[in-house]
Amino acid sequence: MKLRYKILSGFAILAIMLFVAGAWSIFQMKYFSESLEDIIGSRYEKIGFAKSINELLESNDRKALLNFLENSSQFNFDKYGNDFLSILNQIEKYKITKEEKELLSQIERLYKKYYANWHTFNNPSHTSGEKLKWYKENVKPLFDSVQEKINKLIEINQVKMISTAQEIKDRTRRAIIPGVVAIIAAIVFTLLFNYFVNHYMIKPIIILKKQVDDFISKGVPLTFRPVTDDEIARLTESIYLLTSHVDKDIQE
Amino acid sequence: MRLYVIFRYIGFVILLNALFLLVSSGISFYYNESSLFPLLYTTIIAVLFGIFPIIFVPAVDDITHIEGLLIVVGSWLLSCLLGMIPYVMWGGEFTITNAWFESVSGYTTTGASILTEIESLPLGILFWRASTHWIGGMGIIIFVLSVMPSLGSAGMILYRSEMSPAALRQFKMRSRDAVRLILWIYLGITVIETSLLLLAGLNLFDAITHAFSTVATGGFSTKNSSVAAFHSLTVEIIIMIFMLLSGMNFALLFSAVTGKFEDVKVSTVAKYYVGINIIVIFLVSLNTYSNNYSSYWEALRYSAFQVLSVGTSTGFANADSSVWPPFSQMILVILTLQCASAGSTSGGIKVDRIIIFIKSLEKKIKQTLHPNAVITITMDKKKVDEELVNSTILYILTYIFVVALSGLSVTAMGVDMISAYSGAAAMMGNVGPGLGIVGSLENYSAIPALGKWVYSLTMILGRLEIYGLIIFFLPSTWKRKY
Repeated sequence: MKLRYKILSGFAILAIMLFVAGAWSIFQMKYFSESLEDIIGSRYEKIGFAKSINELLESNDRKALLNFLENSSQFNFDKYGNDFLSILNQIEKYKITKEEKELLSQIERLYKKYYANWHTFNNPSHTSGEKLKWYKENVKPLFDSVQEKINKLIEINQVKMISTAQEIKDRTRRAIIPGVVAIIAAIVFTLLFNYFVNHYMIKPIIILKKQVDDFISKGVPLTFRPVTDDEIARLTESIYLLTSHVDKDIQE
Repeated sequence: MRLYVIFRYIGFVILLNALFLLVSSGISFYYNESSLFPLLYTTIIAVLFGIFPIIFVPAVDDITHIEGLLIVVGSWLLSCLLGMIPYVMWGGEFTITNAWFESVSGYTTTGASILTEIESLPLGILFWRASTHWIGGMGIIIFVLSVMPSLGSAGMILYRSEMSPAALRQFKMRSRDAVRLILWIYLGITVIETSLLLLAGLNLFDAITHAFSTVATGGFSTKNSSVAAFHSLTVEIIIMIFMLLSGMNFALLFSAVTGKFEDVKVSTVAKYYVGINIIVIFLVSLNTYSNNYSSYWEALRYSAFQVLSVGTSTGFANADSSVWPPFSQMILVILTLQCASAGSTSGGIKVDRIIIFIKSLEKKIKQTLHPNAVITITMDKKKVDEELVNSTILYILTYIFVVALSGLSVTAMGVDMISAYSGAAAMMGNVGPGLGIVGSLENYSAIPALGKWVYSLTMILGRLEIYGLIIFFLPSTWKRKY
């Protein structure tokens, strides 16, 4: 192989190693921004909204129950009930999975049922004890179901947040390690390349030069035999030819 | 020393690794796994590093014995380094220490793992793990059958003990054709075992990876509970047969393949190897039957598998031997030290050396009784020279010293004595499982990081027959004139 290609192959290998490592790091960086957006921009806020509707559900239920027991009309359940649904709709605006979509529709359906059940009570003459019993039988199970689904939604997002964080950790490693490997490989490769260039290019030239000098000054015949089939071998052949001509001229 | 020659041949080994990395990448690509890039990137690095010396260095016809040793040991160490890259890049349980341990364990065919959740690993990584065993096993065959005997003839008598006299007589392993045939036998055994495991009901992936592990007497499984996960007696019988075969001297298998069955019949080592395994299986099955299992056949099934697994240094498991009675556990520890025949992919002190040791002991007793008698040690009706006997005894002592030192170092890190010493013996013998926290259905994740480095060094020392690694790092080796 020609010297040019040998040298070129060395640099090409070095370039490929660094290019692949660099390209991969950039690709991973792109993923980081997507993952961070997913965690902060989506998961975190979805959890926040879910917690809000949970709190709203609990406080509204408490207030509604107190009013219900006291026959008071101070608490406008209808208004706060709509607040719940409007926050729930906000969650749906984020990127949601199939499982989340299913959960959100379940929450909406159960909540509407829970809300509707509050209005099914039609016996104001009931005592507080009887009202409480009615609440436990007709409203509380639905309240628990809505809360259970909201908690499930929170849990899904928390688990996903943790797994995305773990994924980011692994991806960080996958972005850094190729760089580290490329640096170490480049150093080792440079040493190896230097060794080969020295052994197969520099050293033969030095030996050849010394032997040519010895031939000129002392007439010592050349003994160097190149092991490679490249320009150095051609050069050596030419020098051999030249020295044999010079030898012949001197003898004549 | 002709460094460039060493680089050229190491380049070929790196390219062989690249081939398996490429297949692993293909698997990851097919299953759309997260391990695709780590495997592909390592493939690229391996191809570039492997091909470069081949571009620069022209082919040479002659390689000296020492160069052969340096090529093999250098290839091993570089392969271990290369092999850890996909693990480190992929992440999960693989820290740098864990990745190094897993890689060394793979190439040395030890089969000890730091993984607690093997089944959660991508298939590409699992295939790569099994491939490291297979490549390592191939390396052992070349090292033990080709490089070591040639070193013996060059005056390094210690290595001569690697080959049984029968094997030495049978063929000249320096012959390129013989080595090639041995490698074909290695490949053939792998293909046959894969086919049989497929017929036994395993899927192609599990069949190939388990065949890789068995032939190399490695022990990496794709299942958390190793071979026990298959709940199949047929699978266990197939693996047992191939473990037994892989623990035999490949030179003898070569003789069998080439029709020289007489060599197999007269081999003292083969007779001892098969005989001792039968006796030990019988003893352990009796012991466990009375303590652990309700029927004798059940005891026999588990005992036979565990004994052959440890006795051939494979390290697969179909039962938890850490709950067995102390007698059975002690037998397993003794087998961990002895292992199978020289010239196989197995580790340990080896049956050949044990026979020489027993015979020299016998000679010493006879010599004491009859001081004037001329007593010679013979094996397969051939005289074993004194140098070989001395080097064998020296090797056994050095071996035990390394196990003791390795175990001592790990106990200093807070690991209990049983686990630390059985682990050290298992590392040195390239067996894999030990006792206690590193038992047959456990792993090495609980060993401290420094302990894992100590064990990694022990694995390499065991695999390279102690002296291989020492010679590699001696400055005078590299200063030798070609």
